[in-house]
Amino acid sequence: MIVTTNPGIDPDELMLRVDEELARRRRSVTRPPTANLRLLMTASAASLASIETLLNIAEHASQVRTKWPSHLRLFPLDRSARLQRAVLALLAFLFKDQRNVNESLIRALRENATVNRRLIEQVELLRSQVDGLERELDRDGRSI
Amino acid sequence: MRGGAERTAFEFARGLAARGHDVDVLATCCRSFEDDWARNALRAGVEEIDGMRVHRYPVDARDRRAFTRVNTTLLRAAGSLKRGVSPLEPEEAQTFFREGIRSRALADALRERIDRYDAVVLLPYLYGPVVDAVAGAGRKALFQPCLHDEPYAYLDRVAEAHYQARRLLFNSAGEAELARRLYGPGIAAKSRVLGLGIDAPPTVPQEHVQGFIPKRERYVLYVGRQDATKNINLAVAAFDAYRRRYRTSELKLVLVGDRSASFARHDGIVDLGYVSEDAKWTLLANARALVQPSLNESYSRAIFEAWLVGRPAIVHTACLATSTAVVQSGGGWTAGSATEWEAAFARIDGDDRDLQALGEKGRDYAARFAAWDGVLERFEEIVDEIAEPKTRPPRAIRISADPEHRAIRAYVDALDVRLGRAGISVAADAARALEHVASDDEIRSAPPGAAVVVHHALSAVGSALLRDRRAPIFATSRLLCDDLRAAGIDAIFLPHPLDERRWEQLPDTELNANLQDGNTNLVFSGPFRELVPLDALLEAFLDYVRLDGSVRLCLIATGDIDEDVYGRVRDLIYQLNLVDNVVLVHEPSDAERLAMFRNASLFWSMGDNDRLGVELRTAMHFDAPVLAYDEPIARELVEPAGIVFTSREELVRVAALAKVIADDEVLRRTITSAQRGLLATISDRDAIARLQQWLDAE
Repeated sequence: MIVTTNPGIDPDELMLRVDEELARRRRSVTRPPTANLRLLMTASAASLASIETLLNIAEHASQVRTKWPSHLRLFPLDRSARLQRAVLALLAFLFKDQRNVNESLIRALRENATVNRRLIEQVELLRSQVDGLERELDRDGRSI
Repeated sequence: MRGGAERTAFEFARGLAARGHDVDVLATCCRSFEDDWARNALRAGVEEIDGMRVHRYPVDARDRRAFTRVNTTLLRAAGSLKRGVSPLEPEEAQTFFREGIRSRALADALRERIDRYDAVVLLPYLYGPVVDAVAGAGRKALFQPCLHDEPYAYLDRVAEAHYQARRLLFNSAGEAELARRLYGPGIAAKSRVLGLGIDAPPTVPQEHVQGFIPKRERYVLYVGRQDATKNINLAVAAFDAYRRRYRTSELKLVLVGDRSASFARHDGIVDLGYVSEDAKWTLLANARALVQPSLNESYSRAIFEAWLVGRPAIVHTACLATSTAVVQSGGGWTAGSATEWEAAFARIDGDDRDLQALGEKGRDYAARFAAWDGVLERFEEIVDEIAEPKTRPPRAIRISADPEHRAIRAYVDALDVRLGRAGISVAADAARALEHVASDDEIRSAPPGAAVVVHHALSAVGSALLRDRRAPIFATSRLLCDDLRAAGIDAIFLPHPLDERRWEQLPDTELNANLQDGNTNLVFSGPFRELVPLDALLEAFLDYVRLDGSVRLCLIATGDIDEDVYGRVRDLIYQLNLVDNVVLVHEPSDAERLAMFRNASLFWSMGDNDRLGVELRTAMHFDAPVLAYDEPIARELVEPAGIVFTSREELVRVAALAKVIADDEVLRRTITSAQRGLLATISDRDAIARLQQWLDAE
C-alpha cells in the first residue's frame, strides 16, 4: 500500500504500526478522555518546568551577596571596597532570618514540584498500563 | 575580555587584521555586559589594538527601571515560549530596545562610514544598536547573532533582523538549526556556518590555582558565568546528590568564572571565581571532564577548549548547539534530567580509559572546526559572495506563453522574478525569446531561434521537432527531462522557481499562536479544481479524527480555485461535523501561509495536479513530512524521502498511516532529513547559467 525509497523507513514495520492504530480505532469511543488526558499531562509538565525556572531564579536571588553591584554608585560606598564589604556583611546579618525563611520556602516548593512530577509520572505509568490492558483485551476481541 | 560574544568579536577582528584586512571595530564606551550600560567607563575616540582600529562611542542615558521591568516580564516567559510569537507586547518590546544599551553616536558613525566598508559584521543579537544596524548596513550586513534559545530570541525585532541581513553567520551547525526553527526556512539560503576559532593553549602550566592543586585532585570543571541563567543549579544539585549517594567519592566540582554569589557551601564544590587564562588551561588539562549544563548556548567555547586538551564534556540534551556538537563529535555525553546528570558524574568518576577515548574524539573534532584559519577563510569567501558584481551588458529576454493556461502562467510569473534576480530582464522587444510549450502544435509555432521550456510530455513528432532546434531546451520536471534526453534532446531541468524571500517575514501572530496549542496540525495546500481528491482527503481526515479528536487540518485553497468546488468542500466540512477540526482558507496571505506551514506535522495530499509540485516542495522546505497519493509528481518528489500511498480506497488505513507519521518525531525527522537532501538536488542553477550563456553569446 505504501511506496518509499527512503532507506530509514521500513514499509513493513510501518504498516504493522498502522494496523495497531486501526486496532485502537475500534475503541475510539473510549479514546477522547485519554487524548484529553495526554494534553493535560503535557500542559502540567510545561507548568512544572516553568515553576522550576522561577525557583532557580528565586534561589539565585536569595543567596548572600558577596560582590557590590556595579550600578550602585552611592558616595562614599563607591570609593571604599572595605566599606562595601562591611555593608554587605551587615545586610547579610540583618536579613539572615528572612534568608532562612526564603530558603525554607524554596525547598518546600521544590519538594512539592518533585511530588507533582512523580504523580504525573505515575499517571503516565497507569495510562500505559491501561493501554496495555486494552491491547490485550483487543487481541481477545473484547472491549472495555 | 568578559562575555562570549565580545570575545568572539575581538578574536575574529584580530584574526582578520592579522590576515591583512583593514579592520575597524565600532563599539561603545561601556566596559562590559555586567557594567552600568549608561556609564561611559572607557574614553571615546580611536585606538589601535593588534592591527585594528577600535572606535569607541559614548552610550546614551536610559531608563533602567523601565528596562528591568520589561526584561523581567521577558524572562518570566521562559517556560511558555512559542516560535514566531513575541513574548512581549509591541510597546514593551519597544521599551526593551529603547531603554537597553543605546548609542546614537555609534549609529551615526556607522551611517557615515558605511561606504568605506566591503562588509559589516554585526554581533550579538540581543542589543538594540546591533539589530538596528542590521537594517542600516543594508546589503553589507553580515549578522552573526550568537543565538541562544532564550526569550530574547523570540522578539519580533530580532526575527526581523535575521530577515533583513544579507548573510547570517553561525558559530555552529546547532545554532544554524536553532535559527531555522525560530525564523523559518526563508533564512536557510543565506545562512552560513562559520565556526569559531580557539587559540591554542599556553605552554606554561601552573602548579596551583588559588591553593587548589589541579594535578593532585580528582574533579570535573565548570567554566563560565556562575548564575541561574546558565543552568548551573542543575549541575550543582546533581553533583550534590551524587556526593550524598557515594559518600566515599573524592570527585570534586570546580567552578570557574564570574559570580555574584557562591555555590561553595555545598560539599565537594570548589569555587575559584575568575581565574587567569593560564590557570584556566591548567584546570582544563587536569580535569576529568568539563560540565556545561547551559540550555542556551550558541557555541560554548569552553567545550572546544576542553576538547583541544583532550578532555570530554557533558552537556544538556536540550541545548541544540552544544548537544549537536557532542553528538557529532562523540566527545562526551548529553544529559537532561538531574538523574541523568547524576549518572554522568558516576561515569566520569569511573574508568579513566573511557574518558581518554572520548577526549580524543573531541580533540579530533576541535581540530577540524575550531581552527581560526578555516573560520577566516570561510568568512573571506562570504565577503566575496556579497561583493557587488562587475558591470556587464544588460541581458533581456522575451517570454511568450499561452495566457489561457493557468499553470503555465503561474510558472512564467515565478520565472520572471527568478530571472530578475539573475540579472535577466523580461522585455517585449528583446531580441531573444523563451517559448513555453505544452503541445506539438505550440512547438511548431515557436520561432526557430527561440529557447523552449517544455511543460508536458510530447509525442514522437513533437520530440523530433525539438531535436532540430539549436537554442537551449528546458523541462519543468525531472521525469520530463529524462524522457526528452531518452529521445536524444539535451534538455536542462528548470523547476518551477520558489520565491523563498516571501518566507522571510513574521507569521500571522494570532494564527501562529493558536496553532501552537499542543494539538497536531496537518496541512494540505493546492488548487481547488477537482472535488474527488479533496473529498477523499476529508473522508480520510474524519477517520483520523476518530483516532485523535484534537487533530487539526489546515486546508489551503490556492492558485486555481473553482468556487463551486470550494463551496462544496465547505459544505462537506459541515456535513462531516469537522467544523472544529478544519481550518479552511481561501488564498491566504503570506503571513497566514507561513503560520500554517511552520506548524505542520504533516503535509497530506490526496491527488495530483499541475501546481502540486510547488506545494510539495514548499512543505519540504518547511520540514513538514509529506504523505501523498501515488501520481507522477509524487513519485518524483515524495517517494525518495516521504511516503507515497497507492490506494484511495483504503482511507481508514491512510488515516492511520498519517497519524503514525504525525505522532512519531523520530520518523518525521527521518523523512524531513531526506527531504532536505532531495531539495538540495532540485536546483535551477545549471539552467539559469545556460540561459545567461546563451544570451551573452548573442
